[in-house]
Amino acid sequence: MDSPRKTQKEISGQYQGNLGYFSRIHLGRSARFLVCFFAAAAGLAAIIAFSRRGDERFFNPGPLSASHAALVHTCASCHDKITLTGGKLTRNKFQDVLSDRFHQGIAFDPIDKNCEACHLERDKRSFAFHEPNVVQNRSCSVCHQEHRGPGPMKIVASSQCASCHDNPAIMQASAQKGMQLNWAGFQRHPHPPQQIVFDLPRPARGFTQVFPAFWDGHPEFQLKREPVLDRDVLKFNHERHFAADIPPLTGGRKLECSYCHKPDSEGRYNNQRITFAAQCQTCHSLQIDVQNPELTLPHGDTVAVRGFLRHLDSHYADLAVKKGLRQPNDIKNFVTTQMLRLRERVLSGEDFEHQVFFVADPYKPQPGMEPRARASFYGCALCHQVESRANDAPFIAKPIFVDRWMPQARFDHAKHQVDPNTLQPLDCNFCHHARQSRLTSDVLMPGIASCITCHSPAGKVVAECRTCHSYHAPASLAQMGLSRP
Amino acid sequence: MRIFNRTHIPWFLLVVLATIAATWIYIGNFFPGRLPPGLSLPPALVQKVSQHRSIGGTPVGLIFGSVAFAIFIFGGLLSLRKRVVLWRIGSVQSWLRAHIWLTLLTIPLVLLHSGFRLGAPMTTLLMALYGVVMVSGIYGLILQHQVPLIMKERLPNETVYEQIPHVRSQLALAAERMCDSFKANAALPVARPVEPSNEPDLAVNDPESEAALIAFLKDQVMPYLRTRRGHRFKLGNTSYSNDTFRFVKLRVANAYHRQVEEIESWCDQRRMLDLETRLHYWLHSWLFVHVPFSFLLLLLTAWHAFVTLFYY
Repeated sequence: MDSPRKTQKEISGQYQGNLGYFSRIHLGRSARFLVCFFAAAAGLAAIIAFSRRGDERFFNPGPLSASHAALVHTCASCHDKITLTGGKLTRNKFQDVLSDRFHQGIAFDPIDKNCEACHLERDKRSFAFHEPNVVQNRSCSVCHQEHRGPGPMKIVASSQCASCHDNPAIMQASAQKGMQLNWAGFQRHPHPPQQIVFDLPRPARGFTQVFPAFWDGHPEFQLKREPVLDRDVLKFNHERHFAADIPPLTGGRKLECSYCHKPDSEGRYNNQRITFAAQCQTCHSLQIDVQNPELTLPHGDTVAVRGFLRHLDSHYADLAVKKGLRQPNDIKNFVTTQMLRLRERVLSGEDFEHQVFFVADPYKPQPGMEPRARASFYGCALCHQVESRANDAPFIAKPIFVDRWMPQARFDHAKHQVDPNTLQPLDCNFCHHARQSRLTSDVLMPGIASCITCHSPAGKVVAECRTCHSYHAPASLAQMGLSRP
Repeated sequence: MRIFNRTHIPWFLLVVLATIAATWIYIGNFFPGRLPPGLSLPPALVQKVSQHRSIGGTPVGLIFGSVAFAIFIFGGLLSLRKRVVLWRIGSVQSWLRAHIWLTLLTIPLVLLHSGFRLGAPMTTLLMALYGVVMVSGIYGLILQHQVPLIMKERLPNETVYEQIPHVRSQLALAAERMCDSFKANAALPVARPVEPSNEPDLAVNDPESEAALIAFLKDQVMPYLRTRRGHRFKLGNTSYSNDTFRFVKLRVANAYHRQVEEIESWCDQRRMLDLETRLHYWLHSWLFVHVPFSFLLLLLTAWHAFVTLFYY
């Protein structure tokens, strides 16, 4: 546009007659004001309408898990309106809530209380919280995170555990607190009374070592860390039982770990205790007479054994009946013959009784016999510590079979049947090293290195804390103050 | 408003430094492992260990959100400041600078408050509104920067916008007067003596030329000057207009060339008024989106804050 610029006089001249223009309503500005007004009014109306009849899912950051899906229309089941409805919202209350939020964050307490109330009513149990030396307990919602999508609730992430266990300040405070507590009567992992647990004393600083992950700094298992021995009085040599000369079992089956160590219906190995009758007797039948393998010593009671030996003639007579002899003379002849043959092997009744109780290697008295027959022969001292008692039957201490070696953690053998890398059956010996163990005192539990082989990013098998540990203490401990603070 | 001048440098530095500080505090509190050694937060800036997985619910997240909300309120007050010009609380220019840069600072603050998640439908709606407000604001900022340059270049005689209808009607009136004077001349039997005046010089009375001018005025010029939307007329096109007026000059006697040029200047002025109207429209139309959405955002953010702090 090449028009020359006008002078001020010319410019003002063209406005003459219209100098009051600024006092008139300007269409554009008025329209903008109206649009703003209607937008604000519509927003306000929407808020009011929503607070009266709105669907609260509008504030829902994500679908509820299947566990709480029924509560999707009743937010108040978890989110308490107490802040709003608990009386009039006064200035002081407003300030208190604001101050609290800016110091603590959005409160979880009302939600936690609702969790506890609901689960107490539904499950008839309260949830005790971890250990007494915890310095900072967690809110339910922190670990059990809701609004993360349908389906099962998201599993508790290890990072939640690490937020304390990888925090030196918290662990130090926890150790200090723990050292001032009386731990008598505190059983974090209670077990049925019939179950024998290898319970080691609590470390002085508790379980407060700082570490970020299972594969990165988790302390060695306590029974591997400390010089722990199996105090069982039974003499058992695992290595010997894997030897090549061990005769096959009934049906030609080879003796394997699973013959003695049997899982229960849930795959746990701590509920099916090994017994002489169920496992050992198949081979160690306590036979006393090569010609009469049916005649075996009783097990479990030395008095009964002694009584058996002292009335051996009557046991031979019973055997004769079982073999089909009916005539008294035939029975008597059978008993006499057997007793005379026995006399050829032993010097006296006392000598025989001594042999039965104190022979530690029953293989020696039967040279040249079949291995099976030799193994089945008597000799309590082979497996037991036998103490002689004057004028009484010898004493044999009852063996102690430990049902649970690591009570702080849980382990599912059923999930460890296959090597995840090779997909080949996993040999028990890979973790337990039983084939190399000769002594009863050997604790055949694997160390953490064995677990980390698979349970680590390198092993590509899940290594979450909750895989082995649980956070909540048993309900019984809720009475000890292990509730959420 | 030019956005790259010295007065904006302190604001720019403030926004950059505040963004760096907020990011540092955010990472230091929520992802301390990602901070390089030596850059860890001082204890005073580390919030009490929070159990929240949503960043916005933690004390640090709430502070980010609150500062952003405060800036929203301040941004909304700009329209009030513009209305009350005589308030002695900083010039409108200063307020506008603060409005621009502080609202730009809300981008990192809002993102850090949200933890880079949209969350519930409510917060998603808020984010969408915030997006509309910020995009329209930045668009407006670009227009406010570019359009004045165009106006300076193409509108040497800028008219007060509110006076445009008045000036337009004056131009139409002048055209009508000229047309009427030609008609009056046509009714006179002889030529009048020459009189110095502002009226068109009718010293030479050429009926043919005047008839041609009357027809031109009636058919093209007056409809163009009277209409509200001049760009729909052919005279609204500069090159067409130039050609037309050259042609009109050829059709009239030389004595009428001054009148033709005067008519041409009216049309030129009218085109400038139309251009100014168009530019003014671009300069302010974005406010029809920016301002209402800003108020809506302000309202819903207040609701969001109230509900999350006192209810959920």
